[in-house]
Amino acid sequence: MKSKFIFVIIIFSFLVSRFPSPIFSQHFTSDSYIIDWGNFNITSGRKTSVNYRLTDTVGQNAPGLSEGDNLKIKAGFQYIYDLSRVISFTIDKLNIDFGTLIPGIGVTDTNLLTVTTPSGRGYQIMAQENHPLWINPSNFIPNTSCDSGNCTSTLSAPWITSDKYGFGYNVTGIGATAYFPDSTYFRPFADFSKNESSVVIASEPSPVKDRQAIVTYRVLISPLQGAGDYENYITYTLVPRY
Amino acid sequence: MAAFNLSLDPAQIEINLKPNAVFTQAYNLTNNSTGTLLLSSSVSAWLPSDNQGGVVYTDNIDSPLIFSLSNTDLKLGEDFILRAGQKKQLVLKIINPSVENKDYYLTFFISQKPFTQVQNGHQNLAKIGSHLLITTGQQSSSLSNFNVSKLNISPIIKDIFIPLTISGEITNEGQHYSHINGKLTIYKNKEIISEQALFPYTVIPTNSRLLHCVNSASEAVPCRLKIPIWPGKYQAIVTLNGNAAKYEYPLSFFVFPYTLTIFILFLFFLLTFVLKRK
Repeated sequence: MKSKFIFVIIIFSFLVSRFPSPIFSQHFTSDSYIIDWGNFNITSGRKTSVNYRLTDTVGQNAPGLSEGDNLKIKAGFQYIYDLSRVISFTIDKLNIDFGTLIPGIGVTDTNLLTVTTPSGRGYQIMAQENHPLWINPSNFIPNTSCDSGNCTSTLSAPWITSDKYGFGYNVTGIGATAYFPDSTYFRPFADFSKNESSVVIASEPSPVKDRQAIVTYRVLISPLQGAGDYENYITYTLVPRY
Repeated sequence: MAAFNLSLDPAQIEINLKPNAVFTQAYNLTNNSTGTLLLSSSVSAWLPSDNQGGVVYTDNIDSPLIFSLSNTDLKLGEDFILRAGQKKQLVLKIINPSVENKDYYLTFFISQKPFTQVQNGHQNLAKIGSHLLITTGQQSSSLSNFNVSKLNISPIIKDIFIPLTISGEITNEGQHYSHINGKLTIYKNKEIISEQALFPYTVIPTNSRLLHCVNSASEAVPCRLKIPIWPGKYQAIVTLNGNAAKYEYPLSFFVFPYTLTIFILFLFFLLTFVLKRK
């Protein structure tokens, strides 16, 4: 009886090995790697006609995300276009305190802005002050006009001397180079109290993840500046590129 | 940890509203900051500012659209508090009472507000926005009317070892915003050498976007022909689908092995010089 059972098992194993089911696999090679996939899509891609565009994947055994220690498999159409829809904005601190200002000595402080944008979209960061640094509207620190008196809320210029008084800012980072060529370039904030609209201080056309921009505020007062608490606030606006 | 860290999802929606249509969109808001945020919501209108998707805000919303929040505990423009780590869903409701056939470009803003009521407050503030591209009217879908201009292949000297970049601008000459749908095909001797899908940028009427291709990560990249490029005459064709008329924009160029030729000539002259000296 036992020998009959073993015989049947051997015959069955033989038959199974003779009639294998088809397996779809892929073989990829490069100078450094050889990748053999046990299973991959039978077909996938973009199909277009005059009126429609269709993207598809067919044949994956287990659609979905599979993760191991050193690998991540994204099977199925939903993983081809791994679209993130979230836009996020981070500012490291909201209070900027210049401390006690000394005439003729520029004081700086910084803000770190961090941006993440969704797939396919860039960003623009805009900034605006509610009013100049002031105790009251008649007692204020002027917005900077930079060393040559030519910088405006939309145009930056060098500001390194210690006898051009005012309040201004510089931005460094990949997205800011079009607006501030280097860290010596400053400009005043767009002034809401003068009906000036927010202006772009950093932007990029492509998606970014945790892109950082450093805003450096600089204030330099004259010996004639009256004592007191000078305050304003800056509003930063982040929007995606459409 | 950051003092302000807010995320908004989605970052853009594009909708078609028929007359008297009501549309709702849920926005997920997450406060990843270390502290509580005082926030409010608003809608502002914008205009395109460049050919790379930049926007500039206008003072007033010149639209008949009616915006409100469907949240039971919150109205549009009302202050609300979001504690550290808290998530909140805001449901924006848009009603189109008009029969007008028009586009509206707006941003749904979440604005941080100062906790202090002091007018001279000094706390910096932040806003984050999500775009709304709205077409109103009876027409449910419309054909695009794109036009390709400034087509160029750089650099001027096209060598077999220098990658070529195909640039251009796609202008929307239609009445409504639309997405670019097309491809860039490179032919050599009538055989397809390369075929790349164009990045489906949204193009606002009377405005343009730069021509970019889609890479394997579905992101926009400059359209490039990789090296080495076999010498000969090539033709690049930009094809736009879904247009009122099917447009093809051909562009011819010639690739020559300049560097290789210069190198061989240099070797030849060097060899001639050495042999002459002997």
